[in-house]
Amino acid sequence: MGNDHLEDKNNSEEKPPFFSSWTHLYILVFSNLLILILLFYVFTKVFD
Amino acid sequence: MKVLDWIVLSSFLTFVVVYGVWKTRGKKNLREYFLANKSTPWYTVTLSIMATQASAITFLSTPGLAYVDGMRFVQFYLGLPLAMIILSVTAVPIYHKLNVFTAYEFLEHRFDLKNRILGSTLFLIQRGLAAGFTIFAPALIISVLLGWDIRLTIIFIGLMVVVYTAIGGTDAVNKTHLLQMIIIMVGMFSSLFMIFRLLPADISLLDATHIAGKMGKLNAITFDLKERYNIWSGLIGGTFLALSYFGTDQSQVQRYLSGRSIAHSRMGLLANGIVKIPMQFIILYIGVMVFVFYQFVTPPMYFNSVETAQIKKSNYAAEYLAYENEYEKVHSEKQVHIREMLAAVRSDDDAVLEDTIIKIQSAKESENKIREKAINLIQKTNPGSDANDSNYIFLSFVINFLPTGLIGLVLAAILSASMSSTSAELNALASTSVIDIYKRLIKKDGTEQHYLFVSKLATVFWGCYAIAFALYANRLGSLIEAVNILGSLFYGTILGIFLIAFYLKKIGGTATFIAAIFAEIIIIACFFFTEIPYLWFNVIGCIVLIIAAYLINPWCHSRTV
Repeated sequence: MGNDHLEDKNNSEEKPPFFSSWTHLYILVFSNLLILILLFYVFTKVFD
Repeated sequence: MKVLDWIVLSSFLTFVVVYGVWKTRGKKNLREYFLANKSTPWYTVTLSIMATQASAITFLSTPGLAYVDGMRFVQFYLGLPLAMIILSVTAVPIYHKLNVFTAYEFLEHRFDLKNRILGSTLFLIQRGLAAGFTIFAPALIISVLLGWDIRLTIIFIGLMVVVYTAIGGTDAVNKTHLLQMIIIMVGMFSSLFMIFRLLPADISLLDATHIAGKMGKLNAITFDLKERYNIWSGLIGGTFLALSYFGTDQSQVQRYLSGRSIAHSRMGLLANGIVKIPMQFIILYIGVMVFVFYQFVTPPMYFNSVETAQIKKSNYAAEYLAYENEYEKVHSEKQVHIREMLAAVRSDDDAVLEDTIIKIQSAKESENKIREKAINLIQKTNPGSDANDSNYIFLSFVINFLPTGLIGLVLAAILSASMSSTSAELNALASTSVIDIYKRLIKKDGTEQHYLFVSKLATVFWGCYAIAFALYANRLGSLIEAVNILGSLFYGTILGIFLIAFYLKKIGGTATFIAAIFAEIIIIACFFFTEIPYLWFNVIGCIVLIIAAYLINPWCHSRTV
């Protein structure tokens, strides 16, 4: 399956855009989730 | 619908189909057809992932769900960002490294052929049925409210999708997803803007949100495990569901397999993890604002206008009209209390606030009793009618209150959502059928041209299958819940197979296979004989499978990696 190996660039060392490492991006996604949960909780309580 | 609405709707849809066909014609081999030659940038991957998940059911059913039940359904998506991180670390590099066309190809690398066939078969069963739903659901609602013939609507939606998906494959799906998401976003924000414009002049956005909150609709986060949707089922069950859906369901896997590199595939998933929850929040908020709008305008007692038209021609017409008058009277009284409540909120008067909330709840209970009696009458006229009309709420509002032109735009958004999901499903069903079944088992030595032709044929076949299913499908409760319940019956088992494949290297193929059959039987038994909320099926199926495989493994002799 798929003899053409055109993905020389497809290696896991390729850095993400805007960040120096993938770990930083994972932290961003996780932090975003925590912030959203907090905002939703505040939203629920303020308007309850 | 007016002429302008038809012009807006048909222009958008025609443009999407023509663009999809024109830009992606002339595929020469399977890699181009199923993987878009691995050329997709990350932002297109993100939009494609979102467009695949956000079907018309999302836009029709979700606001209705919020109208009835509040915003707690947003918790369903809390596990999604966690799943995106896990998949970026594990599945994406492995799928890219092995250069697979489907997720199930990986199972043969890891285990053996029988696990590949089991995984792909479970996918074909589950997704094949879901593909019918994603056409049927919007067709039903649109045909009821606009008076279109449902069969023609189903065939029209299905054929439009089959045309560009069969010709252009994954590239067509991705490129049309970009356009469709733009239409969907514009439709969504336009609806929200118009709802605010339609509120009474003395009711601000903040006032509207207060009203929704005091009437129990802004229940975005709840810690109560007994609630159907709560933070725990969302974070735990939701993570398992998202891992299974995005990691093992070919309709999603194919989106990021077409990424131009591991980095682009990862970014596509992670960006989805950031924007998906806010998007769902907005859709639910739209439903809540429709609810607030209807506190100042008497809503229909029953939102399915075909059913209400029928009863008004029947022997129960006078009785039904009497209920309508009573409903309007109670609604007007409730409106007075709502304004009193708002005044109490503004002046921070807790005593009056509490008193008015009690009066509003009492009025709401009276309304519900009248509505129940009205629905009983409807069911006497038509025993097959559904007491749950939440799927019709949003579109009914759009048709009756949005201005000309915007109705066409919102309908274009809803149909775009339907087409985007269906196209990804057909594309995935075709790739799994051809790569995992036909090429692997039936004709192993065909030419690239032969397989390309069969792939297009498979897309057409699955399109016709989905259309046929939609033509004969029955109504269900909340459609978005029906689709997710169906997924949860199979996703846990499929996820368990993949989790063993990725992380438990000592467990072999035979043990996994037997455990998968066992786990699936358990889940189906849970569905029919227990009251366990469906989100937990993903967790249960997965854990049962892993434990069973671990216990069976010493007695099985099979190769491991």
